[in-house]
Amino acid sequence: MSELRFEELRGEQVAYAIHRQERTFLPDRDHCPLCPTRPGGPVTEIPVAAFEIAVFDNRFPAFEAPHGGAEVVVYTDKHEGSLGTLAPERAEALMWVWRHRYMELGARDDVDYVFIFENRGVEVGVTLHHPHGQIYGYPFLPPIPAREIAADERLGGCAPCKLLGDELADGRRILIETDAVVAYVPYAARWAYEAHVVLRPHRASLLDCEAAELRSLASTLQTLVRGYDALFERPFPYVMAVHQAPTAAGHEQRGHLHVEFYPPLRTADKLKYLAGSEQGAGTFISDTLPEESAAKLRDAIRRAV
Amino acid sequence: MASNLSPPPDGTPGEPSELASEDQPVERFGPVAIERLVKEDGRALILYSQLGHRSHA
Repeated sequence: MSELRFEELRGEQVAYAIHRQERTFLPDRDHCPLCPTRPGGPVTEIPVAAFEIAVFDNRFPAFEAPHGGAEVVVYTDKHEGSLGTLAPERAEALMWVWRHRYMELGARDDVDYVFIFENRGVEVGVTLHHPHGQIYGYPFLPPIPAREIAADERLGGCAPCKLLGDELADGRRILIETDAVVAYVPYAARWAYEAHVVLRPHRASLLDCEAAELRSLASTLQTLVRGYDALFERPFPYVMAVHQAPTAAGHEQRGHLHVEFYPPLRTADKLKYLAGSEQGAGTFISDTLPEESAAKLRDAIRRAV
Repeated sequence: MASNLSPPPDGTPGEPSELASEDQPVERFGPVAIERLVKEDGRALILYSQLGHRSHA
């Protein structure tokens, strides 16, 4: 069981999940716990012969009932691949899985915020290579979603709607546009190739999306990930964070569905580290202009299509 | 069904479905079918498949 401690100086929770020290770390392919169980092989987390998308309670949860939840979302039973290489129909189905988990976890009294995310690449701490993401059901509202709600109040309306309008008016940082979704490098990107994927219409959560919007979201995410991989012609590490409305009582509908990507690479072989200014003062120092990154990413996306 | 899996007990949230069987009702959510199972250690396992594309055994 995890323990929460409140860090008074920063005003934020810290979760202690010491059992996670024992979790599986970069197993070889034959011992991947996210593959289907093979005849004669070790029993995996998904003991069936084949599957499309699987979700299970994390064996090493950061949060668990009755104080939240932690789930693993396995995108495919194929060990190789990525979000970008899934068949389009599978990626679309994944959006519905996310929506379903948001609905079910969000309905729980012990979950105030449903956070869907993916860590890709050893550079961001991945411990299993099989294509998968995770979901945390936080028993409190975490600081970043709380700051997004504060931004709504500061800007006098939905902040992602306002920022999307600004990006479309400027145009220099736009990466992908569809009828329902826009991807761009934000004006004040912290990471060299940070990108935000935002629903054009105001949608508080996945539950508010039309089917065509979910299809468009899936397509845009895949296009972006393939573009990332084409940028330096290597699998591109990132943290992908799905932000949407909190599910805590009183906060529903306070949010705008969008997906943020934080890639740690600043060149093909150089990582951006969070060092003194970022960790000690909370201020990112970037050596890349978002407009220049966006131009490179647009070229990469064109090459990848 | 693998021997270390079982359908959830009655009372699991949602409408529990049995394992893949053409003549049994399947829980649906949009374009996906949902199959709820419980692992031997009590953890939940949910298998999602595109309707008409159920592939697990």
